[in-house]
Amino acid sequence: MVINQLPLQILTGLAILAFAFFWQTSLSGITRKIVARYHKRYGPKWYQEFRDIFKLMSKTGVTHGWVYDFGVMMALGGIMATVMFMPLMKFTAFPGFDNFFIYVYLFAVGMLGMAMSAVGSGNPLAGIGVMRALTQMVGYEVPFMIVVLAIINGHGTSSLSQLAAIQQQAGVLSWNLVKMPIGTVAAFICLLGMLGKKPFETFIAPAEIASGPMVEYGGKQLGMLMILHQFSIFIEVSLFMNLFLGGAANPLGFALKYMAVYVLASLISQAMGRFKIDQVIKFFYKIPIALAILQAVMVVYLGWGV
Amino acid sequence: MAIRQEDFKKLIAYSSVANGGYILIGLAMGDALSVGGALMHILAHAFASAAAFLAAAAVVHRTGTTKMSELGGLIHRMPLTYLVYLIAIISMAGIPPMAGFISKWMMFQSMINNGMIFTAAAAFFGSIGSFLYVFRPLSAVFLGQLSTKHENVKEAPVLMMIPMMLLSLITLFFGVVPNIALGVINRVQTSLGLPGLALEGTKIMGSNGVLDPTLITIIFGVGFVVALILFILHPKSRKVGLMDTYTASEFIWTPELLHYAHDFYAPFERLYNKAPRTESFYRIIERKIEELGRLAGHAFFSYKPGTVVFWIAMVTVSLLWGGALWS
Repeated sequence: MVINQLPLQILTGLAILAFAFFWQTSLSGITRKIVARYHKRYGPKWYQEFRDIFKLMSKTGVTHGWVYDFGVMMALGGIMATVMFMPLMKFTAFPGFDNFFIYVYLFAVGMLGMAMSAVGSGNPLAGIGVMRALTQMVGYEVPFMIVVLAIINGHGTSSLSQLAAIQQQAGVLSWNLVKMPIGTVAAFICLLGMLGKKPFETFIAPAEIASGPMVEYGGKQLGMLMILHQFSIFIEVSLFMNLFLGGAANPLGFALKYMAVYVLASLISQAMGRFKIDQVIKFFYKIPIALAILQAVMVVYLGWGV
Repeated sequence: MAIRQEDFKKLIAYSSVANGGYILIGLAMGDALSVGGALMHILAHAFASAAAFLAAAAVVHRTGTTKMSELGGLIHRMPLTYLVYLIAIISMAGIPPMAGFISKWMMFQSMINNGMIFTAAAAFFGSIGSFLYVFRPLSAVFLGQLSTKHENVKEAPVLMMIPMMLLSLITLFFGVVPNIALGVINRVQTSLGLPGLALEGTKIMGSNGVLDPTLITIIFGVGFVVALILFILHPKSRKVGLMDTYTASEFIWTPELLHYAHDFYAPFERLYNKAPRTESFYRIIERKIEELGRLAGHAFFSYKPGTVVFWIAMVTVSLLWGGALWS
């Protein structure tokens, strides 16, 4: 790290941050529209999510003590830092440091902040929601990490942009989607869990535990959590895209791949019911983990798909 | 095991068992990165776990209980203790920018390079599981509703605060600039005949990636500042009490009833409830040993001076001439 480069790199990171916000928030609006058409409704405008966020940010809310505010800031700070490390097409704010583990663990800062703030509100429903979210995290992280282990072991690098570059060498055939199809399926199921899409939205469960962790929020705190939600979707979908779909070399490829992943996940969500939390864990420790281990054995011991 | 504990201190004790496993994995893999990671983990866990125990001790000192379901909401009475515990658990769960992250990162690097799928699966599970169990005291003891009987609890005394603060600062320091500690570990490794770690400025070279903890900390700081600016720029919130929450229009006036702490991970525990347990076996052994001790106590300890003097004399005699008698 050359100190002189650092301000420029941070500016690049902030630019990625701004892009991620506008891109994902617009896409969320568009996806709401698509889902509405799927329901045979008219649906909101594509910029509805922006309206919601700006409205919430300008309102006077309530606070439940300093940890309630501090947790929100820590969560948003952690998630923003994660986004700034994310490679975007050909840009990387901090070349060489886009190590896979940084995303997983910096993301965890955000999760911890959010969990802290939610339980700090003193509502038992928030406590239950956080408990469910953490339990679900134990479910999806393990299979996902095993698949990623196979990828990193096979390609010999954990740098996200390098992994994407390796997959761009020979067109579609060098994508991990083609080379490691079983692992991709497992990872996609885990992605649904990460995004909190049905059938894995047990920790939100609006009709059951009143939106879980979000139950007490309003005003600017809720607005910041909505920004955080957009950023975390951006991180999760970008991770999946860079690991399995060969990243993106140009804006068109980026837009198409990203939209394909996110819209597919949202549509699957509409066709599903909700699992109970026991079922979530049992499911993740049966099917995705078996697929993930099968894929890892194929890559590590048999040398297939490298 | 740590996930199902009801007792604050027992939970931290079990977490040390889990982290001992990590250190063992690291040492057993035996390459430069993993042994370095294991040594770093010993250091990181020592500081984090000591700080967590001290925080627990401060809570016990002020409230007189270690049962998590009886506590709650202490953050409004003991904010500094809460911060110490927060820093400790961030390190224990291996999240940047604390020392625990560095060591876990190094061990994962060599696990992946060796392609040890099943060990790595167990380690990943342990890593995320640790997030679960360290969060439980945080939520049950410090967050949530403040019980009425702890209304007058004060912050821990200054003399207890000083070591806690020092340990937290050390954890943070080694998380931001770990290369000072790793330099020492490097010398240990060279003296053991292992190749040293590749360090460069603030960077650590792994086998499949580079880590720069200082950079991560700076970026996290930038993110936090942006969030802080967003927070300050917007209208101020109105402060309300903890009991002023959404309860689906039920009226509850006892804070204890609104505190979710008992059986925190019940759904997760239901998964392995039917699995065979070794606990009862250990408990039987424990009881037998205790009975044996009581039997011995009955024979040896007495309030009669004569008996005591007799045994003291016997012990002295056997210490002095016992060897001569047997040989």
